[in-house]
Amino acid sequence: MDPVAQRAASGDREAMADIVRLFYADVYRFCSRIVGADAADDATQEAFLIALRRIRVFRGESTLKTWLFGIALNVTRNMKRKRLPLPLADWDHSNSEDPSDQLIDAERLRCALAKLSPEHREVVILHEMEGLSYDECGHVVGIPSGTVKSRLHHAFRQLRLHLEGAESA
Amino acid sequence: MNYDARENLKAYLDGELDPELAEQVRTALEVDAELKKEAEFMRSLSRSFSSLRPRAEATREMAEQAAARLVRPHRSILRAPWVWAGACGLLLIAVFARPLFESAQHELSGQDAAKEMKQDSVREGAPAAGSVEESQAEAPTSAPSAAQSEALIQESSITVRTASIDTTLREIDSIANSLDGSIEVDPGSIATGPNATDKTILLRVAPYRFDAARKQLLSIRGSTEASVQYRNVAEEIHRLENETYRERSSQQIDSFQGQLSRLRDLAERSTIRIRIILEP
Repeated sequence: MDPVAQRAASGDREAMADIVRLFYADVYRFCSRIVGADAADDATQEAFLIALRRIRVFRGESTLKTWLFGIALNVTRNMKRKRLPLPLADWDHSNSEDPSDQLIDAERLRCALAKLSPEHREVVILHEMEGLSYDECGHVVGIPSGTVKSRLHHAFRQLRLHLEGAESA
Repeated sequence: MNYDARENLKAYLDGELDPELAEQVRTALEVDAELKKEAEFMRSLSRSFSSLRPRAEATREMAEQAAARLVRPHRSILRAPWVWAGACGLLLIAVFARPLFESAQHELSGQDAAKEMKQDSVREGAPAAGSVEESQAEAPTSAPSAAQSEALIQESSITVRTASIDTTLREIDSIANSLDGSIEVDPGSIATGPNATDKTILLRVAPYRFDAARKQLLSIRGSTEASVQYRNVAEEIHRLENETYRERSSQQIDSFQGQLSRLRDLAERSTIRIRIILEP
C-alpha cells in the first residue's frame, strides 16, 4: 500500500494533508471535466472530505489516485442530479505544434460527448483524458476491465455517429 | 469489414489486447481498408480528447488552503489556557458555594416532605389527574437526548375522542407551538374537510421533545396512546450512505437516496400520529 495512505489510515494528520496536496490538482481537473470549473472546487472538497473520513478502509487494492477518482466520480454523479452542466464546458485544445495533428473542434467534441450516456462518457473521460488503463478505469467505476473495453468500443462508435451526423447536417 | 477485428479495434489501439487477438487485428488492418479508416478516425478522436486542456487549473495555493481547511491540526484541549482558567473557576465556585448549596438542599428537603404530604392527600381523591399534572410539570425540554446521536426514530400513535374536533385541534396546535413543533395533515387520512368526523394529523417535534409532547397530548381529555415505537436506524443510514458510493444505476442511487432522506427526516423529527374521532 502507498506509504502516505498507510500513515493516513493510522491517523497521521500530516499524511492526510499530504494526500490533499498531492492529488488536489488531479481530482480538481477530473471533477472540472464532468461538472465544469464552477462546481469543480465544491466537488473536489467534498471528495476529499469523504476520502479522509474513509481512509481507514482503504485497502490498497488500487492506487490512491484511482481510489480518489472513484470517490470524486460518485460526488459528481450526485451533483449532476441537481444541475446538468455540459461536459468539458471550460476546456479547449492546447496549441498543437504538429501541423499534421488534425484535431476535432472542441465544441463538436463537447456536443458529441454530451450525447453519450453517463456510463459511456465516464469511461471516455477516464481513459482518453485522464490516461487511466482499462484496469484502473474499472477500479474507479467499479466494473470489470472487460466492461470498460466494451463501453469504450461502443462510446467510440456513438461518437463517430454523432460527429459524422453533425458534419453532414 | 472483419467484425471480430472491429470489436477489438479500440482495445488494440490502446494496447490493451492480448498478443493473439492483437495479431488478428493487425492482420485484418492490412487487408481491410474500411477498418483502417476507422482506426485512423479513432486515433484522431483520441488525440483530440487528450489535447483538450482546461482554461483554469487548480493552483498549489488552492491545494494548500484545502489541506489546511480539511485537515485541521489535532490540538490537545488541555493545552488551551481557557480550559485551565475555567477549571480553576469551577473549583473556586465549588469550594465557596458548597455552604450555600447545603443550606438550599436542606430547605428543599423540607419542601419535598410537605409536597409529598400534599400529594398523598390528592391521590386519595383523584389519582389519575394528579399523576398527569405531575408529569406535565417536568416537561424535559432542556437537552437533546441520545435520540439525535443514535439516529433514533420515535413514533407514537394517539387517539383523541372529542365532542369538538376544532377545540381539540386548537389544543394540539397550542401544544405544537409550545414545543416548536409542526402539524401536518396525514397523507393517509381519509376523512377531511369541515364536516369530517374522523381526522388524522401528524405532530412533528425535535426528538428530545418527543416525551414531553406525548405527555401533553395525553393530558387532553379523551386521549389514549395506542402505541409507541423506538427504532435505531444509525446502521441502516450508514449502509445506505455506503450504497450510494458504489457502482449502481441512476435509479438505484435515487432509490437509496430517497430512503436515506426519509430515514434522516424521521430521525430528525419525531412523529406523533394523532387520530381525532368526533363523539357527539
